[in-house]
Amino acid sequence: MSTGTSATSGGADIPSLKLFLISIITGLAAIYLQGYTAAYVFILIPLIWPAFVSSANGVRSLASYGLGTGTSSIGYWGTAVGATTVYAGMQMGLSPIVEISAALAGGAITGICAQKIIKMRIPVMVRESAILAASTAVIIRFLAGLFPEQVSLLFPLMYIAVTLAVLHPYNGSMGAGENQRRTLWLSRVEASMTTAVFGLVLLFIFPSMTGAGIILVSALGFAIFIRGWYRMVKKEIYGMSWTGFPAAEH
Amino acid sequence: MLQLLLLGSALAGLLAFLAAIFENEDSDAGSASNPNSQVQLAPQIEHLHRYYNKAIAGEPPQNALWAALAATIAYILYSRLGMDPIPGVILGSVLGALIASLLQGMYGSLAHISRIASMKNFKQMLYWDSLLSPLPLSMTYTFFSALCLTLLSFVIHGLLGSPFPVPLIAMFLGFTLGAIASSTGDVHYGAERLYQHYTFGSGIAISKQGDIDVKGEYGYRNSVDTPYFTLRFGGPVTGLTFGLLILIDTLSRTSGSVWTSVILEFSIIALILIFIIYLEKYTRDRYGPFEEGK
Repeated sequence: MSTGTSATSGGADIPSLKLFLISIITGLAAIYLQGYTAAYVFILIPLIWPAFVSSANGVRSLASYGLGTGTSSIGYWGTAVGATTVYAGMQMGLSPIVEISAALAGGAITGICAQKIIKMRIPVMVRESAILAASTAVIIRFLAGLFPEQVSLLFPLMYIAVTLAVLHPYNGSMGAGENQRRTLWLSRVEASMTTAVFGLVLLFIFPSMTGAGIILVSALGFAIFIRGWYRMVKKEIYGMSWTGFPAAEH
Repeated sequence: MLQLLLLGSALAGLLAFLAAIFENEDSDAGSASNPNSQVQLAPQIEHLHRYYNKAIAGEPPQNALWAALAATIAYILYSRLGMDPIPGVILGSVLGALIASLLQGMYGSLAHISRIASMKNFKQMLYWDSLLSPLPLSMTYTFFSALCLTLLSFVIHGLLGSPFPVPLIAMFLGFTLGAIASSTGDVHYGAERLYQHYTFGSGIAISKQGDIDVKGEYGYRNSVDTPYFTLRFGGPVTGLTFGLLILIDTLSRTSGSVWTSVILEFSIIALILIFIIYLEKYTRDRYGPFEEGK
C-alpha cells in the first residue's frame, strides 16, 4: 500500500489536521445553525460534507499502513466511537460541543489501547482515530438533528450508512495507484450520496420541502463531485474501452 | 400462541434460507467473496482480467447497510401508509429493497472504476461491458437478499415478539449473514475443474492464484460465470447455515426458555466440531502427507 506516494498524480498530501479543523468549523456551524434555519435546513448540507472527507482521510491514513481487509474494521470502529458518544450524549441532553469533545477523547483512548494493548505499531494511530471518531460524531450529530421525531428508529441506519461512506472511499480505491486526491473526491461523491439517502428517508417520514431540498442539494453536489472524480479517474487509468480482451494472455 | 410461534419459525427459517442464498450469489457476482482478493492480486501477477470488482466493504457492513436501509424505509412506509399489516409490510419491503439495491449499484460501480484506476502500473484496462453485464445481476441479488432480510426482521419483531425495533434487527441480521456468507460461501475456490488436476491437498501456488479470475471453462471468465458455479453449492450451503441458525433459534422459543436456543446451538456446534476434527484426521491419515503445490 502506498502512503501518500502518489504514483500518478503529483502534489503533496493535504495534512489530516487541516482537513479536521475545516470539518469541525463547518460541522459545528451546521449543527448550531440547524435551530435557526427550520425548514430551510437543506442549505446547511454542504457544510457537513467536509466531515465525511476528514473521516475518509482518517481511514486512509490508518489503513494505508497495510491493513488491507482491516480497512472496514477501522471504519466500523471509528464510527462506532463517534456514533455511540453522540447517541449517549443525546439521551443525556448534552450539548454538541461536549459530545464531540467526548468523541475526540474516546477516539484517542481507543487509539492508545490499540497502540499499547493490541500493539498495532501505527505511528498516527492515536491522532487519526481521534480525528475519525470526532468527525463521524459531527456527521451523526447533524444527521440526528434533521429528524425531530422517531430518531432512535434511525440510529442503526445512521451508524451503518456513515460507516460505509467513511470507509468506502479508501477501500474502493485501494491499489498501487491510489492517491489522496482521488480518494477524497470519491469521499465527496459518497458524502452527497449519503445525505441524499437521509433526505429520502426524511421525505418518507414527512413529505415536505425540507426532504426534497436535501435531495436536491445532494444531487447538485453529486453532479459536481462525480465530474471531479471522473476527471481524476480518466487521467490516472491505464485505459478504457467498451469491450475487448486483455492483450497479455490472449 | 404456540401456533403463532411455529408459523413464525417456519417463515423465519424459509426467509433466512433464501436471504443467505441470494446474499452469497450477490457477493460472488461482485467478487466480494473469495475471488475478491484474487481480483486485487491478479493484475499484479500479470493476470489481466474481465471481472467486476465490487469492493464496497467487507460483506458484513455492506449487508448491514442494505438490510438496515430497506427495513427503515419499509417500517416508515408501513407505519405511514396505514394499510393492513401484510400488504403494507410487503409493499414497504419491496420499495425499501429497491432503494437499497440502487445504492448498492452506485457503490459497486464507483468501487470498480476506482479500483481499476489504481491498477495503472499493472496495465489493467477498464472494460465497460465487464462492469455493466454483472451489475444488474448483482443488484438483483441484493434486492432479493435485502427483501428477505427485511421480511425476516418483521417476522422476528411481529410474529416472534422480539422487543427490538425492526431496523436494528435488520442491521444485526445483515452483519450476521454477511459474516456467515463470507466464510461459508467461499467453498467454491479451489474446487473448479481448473484445479482438479492438482494432487489432493497440495494447495494452490501463488503464481496460479489469479487464474480463477481469468480462465473459464471456455474463454475468459467473467463475473456472471461465478454465480453460475456457486449457485450449485456455495449458495445452498450458506442458506443452510443461516437458515438453520435462525430456524433452531426461533423453534427453540416454543420451549419457553431463552437458554434452550443457546444450549441447543452449542451442542450442535460441538457435534459438528467433533465430526470435522475426525474427518480431517481421517483425510490426513488416508491421503497425506501433502506435497507442496507447484
